[in-house]
Amino acid sequence: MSCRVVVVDDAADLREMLTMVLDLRGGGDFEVVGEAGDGQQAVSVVEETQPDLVLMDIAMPVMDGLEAVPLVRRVSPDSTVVMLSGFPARTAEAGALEAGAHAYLEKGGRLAATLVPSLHDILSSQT
Amino acid sequence: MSGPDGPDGPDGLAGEAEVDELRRRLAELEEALRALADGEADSLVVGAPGAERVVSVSGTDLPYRVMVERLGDGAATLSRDGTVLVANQPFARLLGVDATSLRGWPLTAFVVADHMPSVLDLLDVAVGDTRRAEVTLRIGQHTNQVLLSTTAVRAAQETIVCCAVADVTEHRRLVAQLEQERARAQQRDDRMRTALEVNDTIVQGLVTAEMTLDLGQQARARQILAATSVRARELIGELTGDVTAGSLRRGAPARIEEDTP
Repeated sequence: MSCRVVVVDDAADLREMLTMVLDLRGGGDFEVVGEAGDGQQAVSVVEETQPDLVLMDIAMPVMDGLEAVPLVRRVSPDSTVVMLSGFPARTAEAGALEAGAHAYLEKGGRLAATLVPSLHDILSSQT
Repeated sequence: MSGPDGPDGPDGLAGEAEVDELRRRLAELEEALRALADGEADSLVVGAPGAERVVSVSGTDLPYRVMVERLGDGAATLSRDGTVLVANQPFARLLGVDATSLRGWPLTAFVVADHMPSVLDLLDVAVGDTRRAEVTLRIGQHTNQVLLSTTAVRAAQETIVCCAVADVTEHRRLVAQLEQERARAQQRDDRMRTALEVNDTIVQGLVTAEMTLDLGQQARARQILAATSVRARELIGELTGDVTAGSLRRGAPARIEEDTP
């Protein structure tokens, strides 16, 4: 059974690329069931879809990722939330984990190649 | 004091007795004044023996005088030219002197030169009017920031300037500290806004282009890189504003790193 994913990022191109990476490199282990362009939309989509995994950007309009994480956790307590951000981990990871995220990944650094293995590691550590 | 017969003669003995008597009466008067000032007594017996009369200072005056003496803020009466007539202890403390020795001193002797016009204006207050100004007093090597308030009253044939003074040095220090903290918070906000702009404009574009390349879509990656480059230049223009000769001089040549960190 595949991991159901919601991708949250204000950059539409990046959402599309993340979805392609999960589809093409995920070996059928991931299925993108929803997308959102800001934190507020994310809460609605997550509440509706109850995904296994939420890939959440930090800097977004309307409601940022740090504000959205506690609300996402409330409407879907079983979802694993992974923050995915262009900010270096040394400045943003602690805040993300404090907000309720399960893990923090930096964008960049050959993300197309590293995303799927990283997500596998995170999900297996949650079980 | 000694008479023509010298200190040990009959006049000398009389003189010493007189001095002793005067000292005793002065001590009595000082004690009476202290008791009045502290509120322990509210009347005085004055006049020659057989014709004494009681002068009462009770009523609303006494608590008022005690309050003025004991309240934390300074209060003083001044002549029109700023000479201190009477001052309470807090007023004297703010000037770094004793209240008694302050009498006769010009207030202007304690004012820094830049604030002298303000103080002269305060002393020129009209009867029934009130003026206030924040001035800096010089106390030895230090300065005190104070709020001076003046009003004028007619007493007998002359005009007395009543002056209240409150030390605002600590208040000013706290205000300055708050302003510094506000400026620092503003700088932090500005840095955060810049970081967000760089993230949105450059990092997101580069990450997307990199992923697109890794997925084998060279043409689309090129488009994303071109668009990112345009947005990055616009952002740099917004951040730097107009440039002038010399403002873009760098410490070392720009480098493009080719190794993956």
